[in-house]
Amino acid sequence: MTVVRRDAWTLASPDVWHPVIRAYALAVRVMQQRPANDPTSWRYQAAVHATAQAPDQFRNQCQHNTWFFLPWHRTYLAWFERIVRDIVATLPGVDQATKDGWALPYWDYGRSSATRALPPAFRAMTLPDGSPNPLRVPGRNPGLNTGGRLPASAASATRALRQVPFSARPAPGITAGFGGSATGANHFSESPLAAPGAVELTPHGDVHTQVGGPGGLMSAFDTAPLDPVFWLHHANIDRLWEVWRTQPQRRNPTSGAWLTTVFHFHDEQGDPVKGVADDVLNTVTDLDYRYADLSLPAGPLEATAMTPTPPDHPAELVGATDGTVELTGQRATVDFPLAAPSGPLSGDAGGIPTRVYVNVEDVRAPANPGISYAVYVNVPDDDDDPTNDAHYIGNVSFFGIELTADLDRDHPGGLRMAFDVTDLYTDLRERGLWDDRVRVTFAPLGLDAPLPDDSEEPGPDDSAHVPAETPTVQIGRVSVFYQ
Amino acid sequence: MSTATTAGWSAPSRPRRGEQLRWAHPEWGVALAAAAAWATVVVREPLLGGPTGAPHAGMAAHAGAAMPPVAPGPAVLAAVPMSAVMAAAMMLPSVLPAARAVALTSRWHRRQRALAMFTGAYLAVWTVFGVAVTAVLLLVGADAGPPWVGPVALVAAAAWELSPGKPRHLRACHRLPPSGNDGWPADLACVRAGLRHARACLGACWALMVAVLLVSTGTVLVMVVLTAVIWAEKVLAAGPRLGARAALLIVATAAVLALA
Repeated sequence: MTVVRRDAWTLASPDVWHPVIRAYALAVRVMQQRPANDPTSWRYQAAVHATAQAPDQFRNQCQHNTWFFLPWHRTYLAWFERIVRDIVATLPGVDQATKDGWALPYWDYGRSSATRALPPAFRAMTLPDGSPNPLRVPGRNPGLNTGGRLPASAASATRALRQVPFSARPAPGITAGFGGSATGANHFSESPLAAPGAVELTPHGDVHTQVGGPGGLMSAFDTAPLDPVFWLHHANIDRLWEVWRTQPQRRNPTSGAWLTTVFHFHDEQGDPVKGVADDVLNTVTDLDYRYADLSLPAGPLEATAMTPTPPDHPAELVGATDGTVELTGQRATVDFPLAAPSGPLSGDAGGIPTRVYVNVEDVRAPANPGISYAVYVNVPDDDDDPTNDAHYIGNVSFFGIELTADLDRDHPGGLRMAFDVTDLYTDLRERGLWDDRVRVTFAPLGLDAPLPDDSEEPGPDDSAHVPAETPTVQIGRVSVFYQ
Repeated sequence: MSTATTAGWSAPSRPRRGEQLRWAHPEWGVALAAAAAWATVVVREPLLGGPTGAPHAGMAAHAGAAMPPVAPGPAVLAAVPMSAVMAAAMMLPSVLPAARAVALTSRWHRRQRALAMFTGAYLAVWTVFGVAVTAVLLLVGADAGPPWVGPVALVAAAAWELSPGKPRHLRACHRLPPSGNDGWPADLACVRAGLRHARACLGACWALMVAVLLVSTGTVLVMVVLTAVIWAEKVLAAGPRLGARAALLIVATAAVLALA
C-alpha cells in the first residue's frame, strides 16, 4: 500500500493535533523509552546519524558533502518511518485509518511566510491529554518555540532547484550540482575539493542551523535527530529531491559507484538490513510512499544561463583573500583584487569566463554558532534583503562544523562552499560594474518575528542550552574562480 | 578560434586530450619524482637481496650499497640524499591528491611553483627525520644489529597501526589549508601547508619509516608493502579504518623476512 507523506502545516489546519501528528508524538514517546542499545529506540536512531560512542557499520554513518547525501538520508528516513508505523499500529486510541495510512509528515517551510514557523504541534507544551509533548524540545533556537520564523532565504529551495546537474567530481572552485560532489562513502578523508550540493547547503544546512541555533540539538551531527522535527525537515529535503527530479533536464546519476554503494540500517524488528541508492530511486515502487505535493516553490526557477556542457578546463583562481576571515555574528566584508586569467581562458576566450564562482574555503569552528549568513557580491548598500537583492548569491551555514577540528571523528578538515555567480557576473560586466576588485559581504541571518496570530509563551528552559559565547567561524580563504 | 556559446560569452576551441590531462593534473611532476625515486631505490637494492656490504639497519645502508664501511659522520651525510630518495619513493604517491589540490587552488601561472613549495617543504621534513633516525641508529650501534631487528621493528610498526594515535594523525593528514593568493604570502602559505602536511604524515607513518631503516634484507619488498599501506591509509576514504588489515599485512611481511 502506497502511503502519502503530507505537509505538517496542511495537516495542522484546522486541527493542530491531526491524528497523524498525534500518532507521531505518541510513537516518539515510545521510542524515547526504549534502551539506547535497541536499534528501534530514539537514541539509537540518532546515533545512526552520528555518534562518538561505539560507531560501527550502522552508527555514525551520516553522509554529507557528498552525492550520497540524498540517497542515504532517504533510506534512513524510510527505515525510521517503518519503525514509527510499527509502533503506531500498536497504539491505543489511534484510529485504524491512521494506523493503516500513517506516513512521515514533512515540514514545507518554503511554502509561505507562515510555514516558516515550526508547525504548532512542535511548539505546544502538552499533548491534548495534558501530558508533556515529546515533539517540543528545549534545545532549539530561542524564539523558535514561541513562533519565530526561519529567515526566508534559509527556507528557500529556489536556488537549489535551479541546479541542473545532480553532481560533479571534486574539483577546485566549481559547485557540486544539486546533490553533492561525487565522492566515496564516508569520504571525509578523501578530497579537500569536495563540496555539498546546493540543496544540502540551503535549505538543508540553513534550517539545521536556524532551528538549532547556538548549542541546540539540530545544529550538530550527533544531536540533530533527537529533535523530532529533524525527521520532518529531512522528509522535506527528500521531497525537494523529487521536485528537482521531475523538472526538465534533471537526471539522477547512473554511475555504479553511486547506485551500488552499500549502507547498513535496521528494520522495524531491529534486524540488520542493507540498502543501496538503486533501491530507493522510485519512492512509490521501491518504498511505498509518495508526496502529496510536488509543485515548485514560488520564485525564479529557470536553469542557470550557462553553457550546456561544462568547460573542458579546470576553473582558475583569479583572486582571493590573503588571510583568514572571521565571522563573529556581525556583518563582515572582504575586498580583494581580481587578476586576468593566465590559464586556458587567457588564450582563445580572451579572458572571458563562461562560469564564475565564489568560494568560501576551509571553514572551521569549534561549534555551530547557530547563525547562517547571507552572502553578497559587490552589494552597493547595507539594506539586506536576500529575497530581493540581485547581489545576493546564497547562504553559508555550518551544520556539522563542530567535527572539522575533531581528529577522533570522521569529518576533519574545513568545509568548502561554492556559489555559481555567473548570472550576476554577466549582469555586472554588461553594466560595466565588474572591475579588477570584488567585494564579498557576509550578513548574519536571524529568526523573523512570529506572526501576530501565531505566537506562543516561552518555556522555562528554552534558552538553558545556549552557550555564553557564540563561537567564531574562521574562513581560511574567500576566492573567485573563472572557468 | 573562439566558439560563440551564450550571448556575450565565448569559449576556447576544444583542447587536445593531452592538454586537458595536463591542465587537470598539474601534479604530474610529483608523480615523475616518485617514479624516479623508485627507480633509484630498485637499482640500488635488489628485491630480497642479502647484505649490501654497507652498514645495515641505517640510512647509510641504503645510501651506499657498494661502499665499504664508513665512519658515522660521513655515513650520516651519505644518508641525506638516500633519505630524500626514500621519502620521495614512499611518501610522494600518497601526497599526490593533496599536491593536486594545492596546485589547482593556486593561481594558474604559479601552479608548479606552489607544488614545488608544498612538496619541497614536505620532503624536507621527512629527509630530516630520516637523517636523524640514521644518526641515532649509528650512535647506539643498532646499524650493525642482528637480522631479527628488522622483523621486530615491523611488528612494532604493526602495533602502532593499531594504536588510537594512528587514525588521529591520518585524519590530520587530510586537513589542507588554503594555498594563498599570489606573491610571497602564497609561497609562505604553500610552505606552511607542506610542513603541516608533513607533520601529520610523520605522526601517522613514523613507525613505518623507522622499520624500513632497520630492515637489513628485502628492503625493497618492505618498502613496496609499506608504501602500499601508506597510500591506502592516506588516500582511500576508508583509510583511517584500515589499521587492523594494515597491521596484519605488516606482520606477514615481517614473517616473510624472518623466514627468508
